[in-house]
Amino acid sequence: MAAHEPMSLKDKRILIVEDHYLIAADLSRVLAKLGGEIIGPVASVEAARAEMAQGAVDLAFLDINLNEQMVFPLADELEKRGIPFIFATGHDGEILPERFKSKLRLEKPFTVKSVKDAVRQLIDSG
Amino acid sequence: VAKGVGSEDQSRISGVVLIAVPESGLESLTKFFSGLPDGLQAAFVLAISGHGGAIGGLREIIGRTSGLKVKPVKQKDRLEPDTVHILPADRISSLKKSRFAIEQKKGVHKGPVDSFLLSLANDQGDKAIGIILSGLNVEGTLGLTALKEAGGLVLTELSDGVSRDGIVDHLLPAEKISQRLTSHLVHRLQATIEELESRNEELKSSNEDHQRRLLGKLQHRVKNILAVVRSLANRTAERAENLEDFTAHFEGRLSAMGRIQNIVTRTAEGSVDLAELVHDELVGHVAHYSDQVDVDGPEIELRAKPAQTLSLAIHELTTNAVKYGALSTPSGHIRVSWRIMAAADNPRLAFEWVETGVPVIDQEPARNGFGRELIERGLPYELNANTALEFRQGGVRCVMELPLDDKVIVRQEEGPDGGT
Repeated sequence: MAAHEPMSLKDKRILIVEDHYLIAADLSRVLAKLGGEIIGPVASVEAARAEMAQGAVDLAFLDINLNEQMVFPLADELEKRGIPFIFATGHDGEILPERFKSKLRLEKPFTVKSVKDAVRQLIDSG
Repeated sequence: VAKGVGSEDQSRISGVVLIAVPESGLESLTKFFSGLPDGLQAAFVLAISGHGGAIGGLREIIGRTSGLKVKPVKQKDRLEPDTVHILPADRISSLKKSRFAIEQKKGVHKGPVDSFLLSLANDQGDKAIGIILSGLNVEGTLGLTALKEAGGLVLTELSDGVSRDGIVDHLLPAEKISQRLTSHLVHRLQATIEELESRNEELKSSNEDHQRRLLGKLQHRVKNILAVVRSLANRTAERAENLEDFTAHFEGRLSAMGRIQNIVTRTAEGSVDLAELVHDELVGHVAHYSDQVDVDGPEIELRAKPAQTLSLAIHELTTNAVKYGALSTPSGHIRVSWRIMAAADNPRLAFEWVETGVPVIDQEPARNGFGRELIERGLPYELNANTALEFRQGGVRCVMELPLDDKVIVRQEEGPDGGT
């Protein structure tokens, strides 16, 4: 999809992993408005795995710190399966392990525009 | 590594130097001391064989030729830097943990110099230095061997006619001995300073690491709070009838978050007492709520995240009570209580908010959808809580059951008045 076309996430199944309910609900609404089908949201790596076992996921938004549990093992699994993902985080890039330093990041607090931009970049790069 | 480094004073000592000399060797001793610079931070121990015990002359010689203090050794004396300790004649002296021990000669095992050198090697390791001035003949070989093995330095004067091959580091004239000793001690002092500097550097960088981690944590917290505030603003706007309505609700929710941040940031681990959290929320709305509200439960400590979520839920319950519920009418009453449900496999905190005496109640109020969503969906999502919210005859009843874990902690089993 070219960047200037109106962007739609129609029929995309989007997994949201975020431990704050209000942030997760907020992000879900923004992505649903863009046409996405929301999987979750879930607050832990285990719950995310359970969702992934239930059905296909096209892309994922990952909070980095989930109640002091790091999301990186899940990111590795997504990478292995070729599922694109975005880190949604309040941390700057420094906390990311070397292998994820080049990954897309959505800075908190996000806006509708910053979510759209992140999704567009993800789709363009995929 | 030097042994016997006890106090700060002891660690300041650069080396412990035993000087053995016959009474006839006072000339060598004078040469030696006059060649020593000030401030080497070494402790000197002088053993004079055939010495009758009068140290007046020695004190004078040493005082004249060097800036060192002179001290006849007494039982349990400590080694001191820039001091010459004079061993008593006809006694066996030794060092233990940098303190002198003196005993009577018993039998004829070892001579006083050998005895002292053995204890010096054992007590001070590579800090030990043995110097033999003038001909001492056989005595000392045994002790010097031990000192060498412990990593110490051995210096003897040329005129010492005894062959000590493989033990002596340098065979020198007396004045050169002081030069050699000086460079050895200066080298040791430099090594100590370098070690202290590198330790200091390590400490500094680990402090910087610590600060960076703390700042990272703080940044994470602040950004999350901003994201929550963004969400609060959106959710409040969705349900607001007009701008005034939005402002009132949004300010109330923001104040509730502000209050909990105040308590959370008071302690390093971000702990909050549940009773205090409830009190803060109620008193924020009703200055004298105690006539209408009973609060009771055992002492519970909440960490930042459950505290934030729970305080927002209690805020929603309180504002609802003030507008439409028990705090909107003089006949209304609220009982806020909590207790421990001590199931072995799943211990939980059961929190209950029960309003009574509300004459008219809207059975399915649509207006406060946000509070309801927070309680029915937010708490289960964030805290694995089981919750129920009922609008029934007489007032609201809300039950929230939270698992007890490392974020919801029991501090005291019973409340001050016996609990519930």
